[in-house]
Amino acid sequence: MTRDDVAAPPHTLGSLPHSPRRIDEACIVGVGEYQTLDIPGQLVCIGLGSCVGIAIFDPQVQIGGLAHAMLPRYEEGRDKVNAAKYADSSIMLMVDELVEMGAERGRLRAKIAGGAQMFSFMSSDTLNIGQRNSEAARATLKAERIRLLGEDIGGTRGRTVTFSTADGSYRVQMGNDVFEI
Amino acid sequence: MTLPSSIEQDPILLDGLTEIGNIGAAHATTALSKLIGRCIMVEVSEHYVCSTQKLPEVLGDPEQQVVAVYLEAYGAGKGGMLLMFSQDTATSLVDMMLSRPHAVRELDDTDRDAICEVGNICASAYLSAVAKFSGITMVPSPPGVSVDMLHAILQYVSAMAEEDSSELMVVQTQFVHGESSYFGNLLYLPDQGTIRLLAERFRAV
Repeated sequence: MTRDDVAAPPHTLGSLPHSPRRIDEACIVGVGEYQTLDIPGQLVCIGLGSCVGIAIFDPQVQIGGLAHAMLPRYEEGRDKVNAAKYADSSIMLMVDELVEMGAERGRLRAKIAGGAQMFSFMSSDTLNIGQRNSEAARATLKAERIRLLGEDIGGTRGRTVTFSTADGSYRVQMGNDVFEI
Repeated sequence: MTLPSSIEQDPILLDGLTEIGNIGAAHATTALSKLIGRCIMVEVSEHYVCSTQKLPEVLGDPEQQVVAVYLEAYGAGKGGMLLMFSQDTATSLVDMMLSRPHAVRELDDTDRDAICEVGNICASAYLSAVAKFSGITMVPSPPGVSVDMLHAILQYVSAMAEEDSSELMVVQTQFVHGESSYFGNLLYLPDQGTIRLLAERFRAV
């Protein structure tokens, strides 16, 4: 049996090349979750505030994933059941899964966006959870030796991001501004 | 940690939460009505349990732009308070407050400061009413204001709550003004310790 014989799961609907961007075919990654795709397709994080959207992919085989991490570090967290919530552990889980799907660890690349500070003045958030999330993501990528190709982090505005496993493009939308990293 | 089912199904606690929602909301609307010189009414006050992770998705179109004021309760009773308006409601609130005709516009810095104060007054009135009713000290933190996607705002609130619990008790109040069906939304999110404390107090009454 080859990879072509394996039917794609229903959530991995890829878009045709050159077709307009369709949000209904994109797979939405919920808060504290990650999704991986081994066919060309789109993964979306809607409304990233202090969360970070971490995309990791192998450009040669078009295998990639997107994590929507809400907290920085697994060991500092309360919930030890759902490790996908944390920036560091979600990267590790996703990398293992991508390698299992056929990606080459040495070829993996990453792009991250998010980590905004939504409310300008918060006393219990003096440590700035958004900033801590992006720092944890960066540090983990470095430790895993995954090269960070682009990032758009910090600021005070929420972002909606679309990651495409077809070409590794990572589209960021902030209000009316749309750009790629 | 999830909410113990004994608490979730405790009829005394649930009645008490309804009461808290009503009392808090009544004080918040009175304060708001006085501030803007119009009559604001409570449409619905309800409470429900929601997983912290799912909160950003359950309150409506995640990408709609909202104006939100967030603050936290300190003292014996802790938790978050979030007040949300649509952009147009927010600017018309500011215009009512300053007794000037309403102009459709994006929020400027003055509007943000004014809306922050509206949130502060509402939330303080709500919290002090709840504190008086339950006998649990609750002091509001300074407010923060944000104009952004509903999902991004709620997701921040979730991340703050997540350090305490995987499930949230949400006490939600909807405001109406005149004929318009929707005016604003106020969420009170007591933390686990506060819920337990409230349950004890209600039982003692």
